[in-house]
Amino acid sequence: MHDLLAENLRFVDLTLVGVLFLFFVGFVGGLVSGFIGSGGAFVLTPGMMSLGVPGPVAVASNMCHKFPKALVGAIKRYKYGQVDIKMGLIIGVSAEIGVQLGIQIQKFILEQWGQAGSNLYVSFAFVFVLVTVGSFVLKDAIQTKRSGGEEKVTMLAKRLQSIELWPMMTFKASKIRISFWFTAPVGLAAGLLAATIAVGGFAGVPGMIYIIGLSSLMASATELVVAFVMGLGGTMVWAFYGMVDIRLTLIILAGSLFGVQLGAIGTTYVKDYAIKFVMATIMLIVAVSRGLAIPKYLKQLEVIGWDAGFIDIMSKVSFGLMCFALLVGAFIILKAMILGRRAERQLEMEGAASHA
Amino acid sequence: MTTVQERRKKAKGQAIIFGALSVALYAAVFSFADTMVHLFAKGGLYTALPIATVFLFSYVHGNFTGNVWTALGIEASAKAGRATEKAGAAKRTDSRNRATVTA
Repeated sequence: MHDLLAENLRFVDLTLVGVLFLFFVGFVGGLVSGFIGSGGAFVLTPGMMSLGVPGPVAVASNMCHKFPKALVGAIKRYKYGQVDIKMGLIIGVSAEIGVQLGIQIQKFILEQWGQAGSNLYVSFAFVFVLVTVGSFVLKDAIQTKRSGGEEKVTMLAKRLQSIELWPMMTFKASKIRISFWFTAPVGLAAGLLAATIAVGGFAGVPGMIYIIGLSSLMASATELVVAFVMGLGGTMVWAFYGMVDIRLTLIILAGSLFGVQLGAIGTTYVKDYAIKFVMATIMLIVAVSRGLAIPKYLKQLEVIGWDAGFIDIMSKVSFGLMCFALLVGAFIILKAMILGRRAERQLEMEGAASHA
Repeated sequence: MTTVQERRKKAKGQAIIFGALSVALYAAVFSFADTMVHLFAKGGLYTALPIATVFLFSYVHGNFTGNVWTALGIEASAKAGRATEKAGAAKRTDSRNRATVTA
């Protein structure tokens, strides 16, 4: 792979606008990551490519900023007692296996149907997974809010926890005892999705909530450990082939470390289901965005014969919607955080007044 | 237990120190950007270079960003704070007077 791209073609000249764009998307992506455990990659990779960065370098540089960001976010949330390190590491290792499986599937599709076929598969996976999981999470968030905001462990998770299947594992931090064979599919699905659409958390977090039985707060924080394990493994492979552009990585990292800390602080002010709301909203908007990108690949495969100008507009709207998804997520997080802080201060002032 | 003012004052100092270090690191990287980009892209054993660099930046810049938010008064909810303080309180050593023998 090292010879795949000539060295002078691999690294673009950076403009001030490009740097500011990456810093800003890094910040917003970090904010969302710190809050829901994943996010940002789906805008950063195409964003970098629109600046002229070749695909593999964009993926590699994005991956290289992901694991230190996840590490900083995980440490912050660990201090708030929200991380199950053991669960994160075990799911992270199974996710690595899922990534390898995902790469093999991608390779097979690429050999069979070429680049357009591969892009089409990625877009379909995006739309199918995000619509299915996103609507389920949104429905659950609405129900939880209506029933007073108290999260309940799903029947499925309770049933799986009651099955004694060797090897059983005890997770002290989340107070869960469950068989390895029920945590492994969650990791595999997260890895498979990470290798396909670059956002494994969209499978990992709902998997940990609905299949294993963690709270949204715990699942989103533990996902940062999973992202660290997956990101470090992925970066080692990409860096081995010399695909990391350290300048791009460090610019995104500069913004995302501000964001990830703020997102982590935000989780302490909201009810658990707020995480589900943000995650579902982002997933559903991104699903629409990827849906708009599908005609481009269908045209490349000569399945449809739509006007090229129209398809170009659809692709631009698609990218715009992805940025919009991230901004909506950031808006909900910041609003919830400001309201939460205000309510807490009000309580403190009332408490102080009653003591006086 | 530290007061909010004490915590913010300490964070300000830390933010200045880690901010200066962070600026120095970024200045160093972008002064030698071309050389670094090509060296880091050699692959093979050079894989360790980008990984070590991002770890260093995440420590220095991460400490800077964390302290910036604290210095600005943007901190976790008192509920989360109380949990950590309780844990800290449990580790406190016994400071009661001891019976001593003076010869």
